[in-house]
Amino acid sequence: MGLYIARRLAATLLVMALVGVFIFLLLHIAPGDPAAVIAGDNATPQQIADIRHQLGLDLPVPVQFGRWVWQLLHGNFGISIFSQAPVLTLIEQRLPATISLTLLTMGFAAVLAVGAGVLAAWRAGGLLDRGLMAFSALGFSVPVFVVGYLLIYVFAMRLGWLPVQGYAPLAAGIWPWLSHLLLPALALGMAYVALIARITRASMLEVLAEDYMRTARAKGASASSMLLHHALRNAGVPIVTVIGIGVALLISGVVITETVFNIPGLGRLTVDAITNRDYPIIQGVIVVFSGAYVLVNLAVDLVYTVIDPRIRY
Amino acid sequence: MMRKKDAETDPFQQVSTRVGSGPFLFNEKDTRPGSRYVFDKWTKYVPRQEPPNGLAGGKVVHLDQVIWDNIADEQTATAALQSGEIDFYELPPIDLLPQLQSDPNIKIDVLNKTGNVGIARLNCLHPPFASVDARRAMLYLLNQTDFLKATFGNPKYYRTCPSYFGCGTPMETDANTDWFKQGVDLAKAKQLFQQAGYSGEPVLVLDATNIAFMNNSAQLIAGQLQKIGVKAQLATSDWGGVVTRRAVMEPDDKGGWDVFITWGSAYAFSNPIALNALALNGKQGWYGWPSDPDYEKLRMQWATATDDATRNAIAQKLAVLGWNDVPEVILGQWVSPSAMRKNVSGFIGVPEIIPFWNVTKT
Repeated sequence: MGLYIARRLAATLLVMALVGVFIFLLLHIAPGDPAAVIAGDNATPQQIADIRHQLGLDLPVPVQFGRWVWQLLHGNFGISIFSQAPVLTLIEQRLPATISLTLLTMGFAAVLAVGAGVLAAWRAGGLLDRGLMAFSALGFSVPVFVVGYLLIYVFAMRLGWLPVQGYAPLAAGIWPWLSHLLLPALALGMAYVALIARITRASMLEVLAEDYMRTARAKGASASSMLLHHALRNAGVPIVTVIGIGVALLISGVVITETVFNIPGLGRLTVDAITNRDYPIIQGVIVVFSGAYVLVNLAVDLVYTVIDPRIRY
Repeated sequence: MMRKKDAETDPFQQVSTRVGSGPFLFNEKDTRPGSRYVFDKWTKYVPRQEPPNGLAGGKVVHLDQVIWDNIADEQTATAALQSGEIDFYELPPIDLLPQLQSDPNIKIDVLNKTGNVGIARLNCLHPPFASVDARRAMLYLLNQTDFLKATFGNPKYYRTCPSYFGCGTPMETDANTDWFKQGVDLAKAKQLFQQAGYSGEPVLVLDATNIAFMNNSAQLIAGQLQKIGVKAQLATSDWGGVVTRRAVMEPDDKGGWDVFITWGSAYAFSNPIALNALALNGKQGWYGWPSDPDYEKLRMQWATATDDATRNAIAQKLAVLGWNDVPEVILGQWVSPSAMRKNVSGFIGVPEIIPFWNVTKT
């Protein structure tokens, strides 16, 4: 197991390196020039060229890439072209908001979706099943920003229960922190809930048709014991897999959600950096996101061994 | 005002220290670059004992702290203002104003009375706009009202303006604006393009799709050009893409361009020295690179003039030459109202910036 984890961690570094190369090349191939953005609307081409030279953007791309990798290997993500602040500091400032939003969304979505999927499978074909699956179809179909606006209108504007926007750190207290994240987490979690609920239902239906479930029923096991103890555990691997894969869905959703709810997280940082062509920030954030994604999926692989003792690495 | 050691920084290197001399103190600890900027009242600041007058006069601060939140989503910013989470919204979009006006706790005010001037800049280096006839054709082709209506909708907030130096500004003039008084004339525009030797080459209009005024205007310009048989094409990107491409001096097929859209403060348009768009100094100058040595001589005279009457007289002559050369076409002038909670007052209306001294919150 230890060797497996070490191998996977090494692979994680490889994946992050490949993502880094890909993003670096993509940014430098794509149209846009940070020097032109910094120079402002009133600058002349010569002024832009001077800024480009100062920033080293006129160097050959392989040289710029080499410099960036060298910095990265020394734990230095570079300096923001626009704000001149260290990228790592900017990421550290924004990370708590994004982690809070993502974990809260994953937590509530997993509980809600697995529960809904189990119930739907238990009452397959019935009204409850159809209602839950219709809700999950809705979750897939309605864009995050539409859900966000609706939630803001109902819960913040009409009822006044929760704030419209912003973020309060955990240090400010549980309720301020939670109250600012509830609506964004609901908006962000809709598609995630839908995805997990549908997979849970399908996986549960497969398991419920197995012989050992009939045996459990014949032995007089209660419905809850059958569903939660016998069926859910055996259906767990695909559910956990989709929770891991769905993290990519969350990462893309975070960008929109943080914009709609004005949360100063990594998503907003990315959007602003793309607008300003702030290459070091974009590269830094993508490396962090890719690392998080790979590590979450490593955690998922390890959870398999807990759910299904037959799986060993 | 800067410290000597900061002022001596290489002009192409960003000054990293923030030292001010005004009534607010920059709060670096609570600031989040790109998201939130915080300013505390500077308690040791001693204001002049007189009422404020534009950017001069007594700068008395009545607020303990001013927080600038960069709320990217306009609908969210509007909701935040209505719910009282923020007190002031600098630039609400025009289409959300009715929603704000219907709220009894919100008031709307235009703080920058001269507003902004929109322009379509023409590339003078390559055909067709290397020919002054093709540039003049644009004056007869574009109707300012169409551009203003497309983005701003409510005539209360926009006006047509032919002045080379913006309307409502110290240098406003209607010199050489017969094209405006005559109005749109497609036949004349077509004839001028023919006179320019237009031979059917594509005309590339840079379209920044993430900015409504630029996107709408680019499409309108392309549509008008197509009406007179000019093969207009849109090159779509975000604004970051436009600012990169407009610096390219090569022809269209090598990454160049023919038209791009932007805007500036009308107040800035009244200063032919400070605003690069008002220089006609060729390749040394601003994008489009128009050249007119006579105009440049006049511009230097304007810079050294010692009184407003002389500056105004020179501005008249500059406008005559400017509208003969047509480095750009004016697409109209508009103001951007701000929205605020009714318990907030005392904003001083000046062009381009919003001072927060004199502001009170009850």
